[in-house]
Amino acid sequence: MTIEAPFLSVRRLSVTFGKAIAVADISLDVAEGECVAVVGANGAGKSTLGKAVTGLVHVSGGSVELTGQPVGADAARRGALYVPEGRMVFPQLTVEENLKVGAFTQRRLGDWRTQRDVMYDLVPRLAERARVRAGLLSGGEQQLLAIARALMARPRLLVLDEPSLGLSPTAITTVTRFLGQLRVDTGVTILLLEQNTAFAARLADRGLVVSLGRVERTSLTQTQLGAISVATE
Amino acid sequence: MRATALRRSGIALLLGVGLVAIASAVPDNRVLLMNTFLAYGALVLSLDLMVGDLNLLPAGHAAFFGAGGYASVVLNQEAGWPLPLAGGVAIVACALVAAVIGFPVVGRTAGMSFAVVTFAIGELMVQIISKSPELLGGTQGLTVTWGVGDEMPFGFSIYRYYSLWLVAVFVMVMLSVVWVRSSHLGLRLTAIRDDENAARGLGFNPVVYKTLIFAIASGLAAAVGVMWAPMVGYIGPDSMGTTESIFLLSLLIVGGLRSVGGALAGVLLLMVAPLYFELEPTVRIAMVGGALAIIALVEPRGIAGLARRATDRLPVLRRAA
Repeated sequence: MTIEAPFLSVRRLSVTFGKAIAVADISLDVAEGECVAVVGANGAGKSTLGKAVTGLVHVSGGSVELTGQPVGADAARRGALYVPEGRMVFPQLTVEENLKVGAFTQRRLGDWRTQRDVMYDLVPRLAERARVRAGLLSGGEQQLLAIARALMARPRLLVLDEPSLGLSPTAITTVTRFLGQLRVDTGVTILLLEQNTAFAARLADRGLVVSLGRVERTSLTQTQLGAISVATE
Repeated sequence: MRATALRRSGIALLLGVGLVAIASAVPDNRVLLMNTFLAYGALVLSLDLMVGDLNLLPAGHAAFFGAGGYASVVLNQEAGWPLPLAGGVAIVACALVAAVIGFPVVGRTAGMSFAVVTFAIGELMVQIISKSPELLGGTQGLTVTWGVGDEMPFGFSIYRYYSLWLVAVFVMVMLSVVWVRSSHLGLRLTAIRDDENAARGLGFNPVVYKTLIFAIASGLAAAVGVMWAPMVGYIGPDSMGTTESIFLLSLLIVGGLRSVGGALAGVLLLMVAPLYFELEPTVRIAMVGGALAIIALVEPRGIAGLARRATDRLPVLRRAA
């Protein structure tokens, strides 16, 4: 009798940059199809955790496993994609070109246009602006595009780094609705790194709080998530 | 994408045919001028792959031009290889050297450090040549004996014969630029230029792409050197120093980044025109400096940007385009 490995398993992870310790000792499990929020103030180690999970930083200790296999630099090819904070679209490329670039890891497997049309169905606004340079989109549209671009690679795990950062309340509502619809349609697993606990509570099934590179509280319910504040001041 | 690439390649090939026609018709006293245009045009266009497409600022592009020339001449004269083989090996070797030194060093740097690293590589090559008088001729340079007194095909002079080879290299460089810019690779390069971290997040490694483009651009520069050295019959360390690399950068910046027409306009204005009008070297240097200052103040997109502005202003021209 084998116990099935969790979809994403982080064990005693630590990441250091020189003498600075970004992630000290973090363990967490995410089941397939689940949306788990990691909330914490600036400098809590959320982004570094996200980058370690997607193989973008060198892990100094502990392990990150995706369906039982350790994650390395090939994370993107294995379906773990990181959407950086600050809606990092490629401003010089058009909306459509951004999506095409996003399909990079899947290019040989199928026609990228099929997946593009799925994205356009989910976010009709992007279809309307297909030929517009991404740098000219509004903040909310850029965030939707950044997520859609990552989805072009048909990921199994999406790591979203502060998708609410710098967005207007209306734009946050749009992003929330989009991500909710996305979970229903595709069942994608999401690791949500957030400061905005109210936003995280609307999306996530459960959450945990990190502070200074360590897990401070685990297994918060949606209600508990919405009730706390992690602001530094 | 593919249609654009094919159309632009077609234009490049047609231009090549036109250049061959010009090369065989141009009067004898202007052949060298034509070759200068072709060689500098190819060098500046290959440089634009790094500067325009990736925002990398190399300070040693001319060094690879020189390295290509030296490698083919030495392989031909010392090792006795036939010139086509020596040239081919020299081009591939320069691209490989660029890739090997590029991967650990160049690929991981950007901005200022990229400029410093390529400056160091270029100066290192010049020093190696200056310090090996037996094999590489030292500071005196090497005289190329190939072709002296020989009959050239079609009864051409040696200058005119090499015009054809330089046209071939020029077209090859244009095709490389066209295919890089209108392919998925071009999209990925723009993505890296816009935001390296976001590109990493999508699963492509900027280091690999920077190294690849550095190797391609350096190999193309070497190809120009391979054709240039036997044409002038001499190659020396002066032609590959940092001054020359910076001059190439000036031509590109004045002409305009990411624009084939702009780059060639820069070469015509600052390299070919001063030779045609037989201006003093000091006047040419002043022209380059003045043009850079004007471009920086008036139109950062260079001559290509000025041309775009002009066509936007004149409705007649816009309809024609």
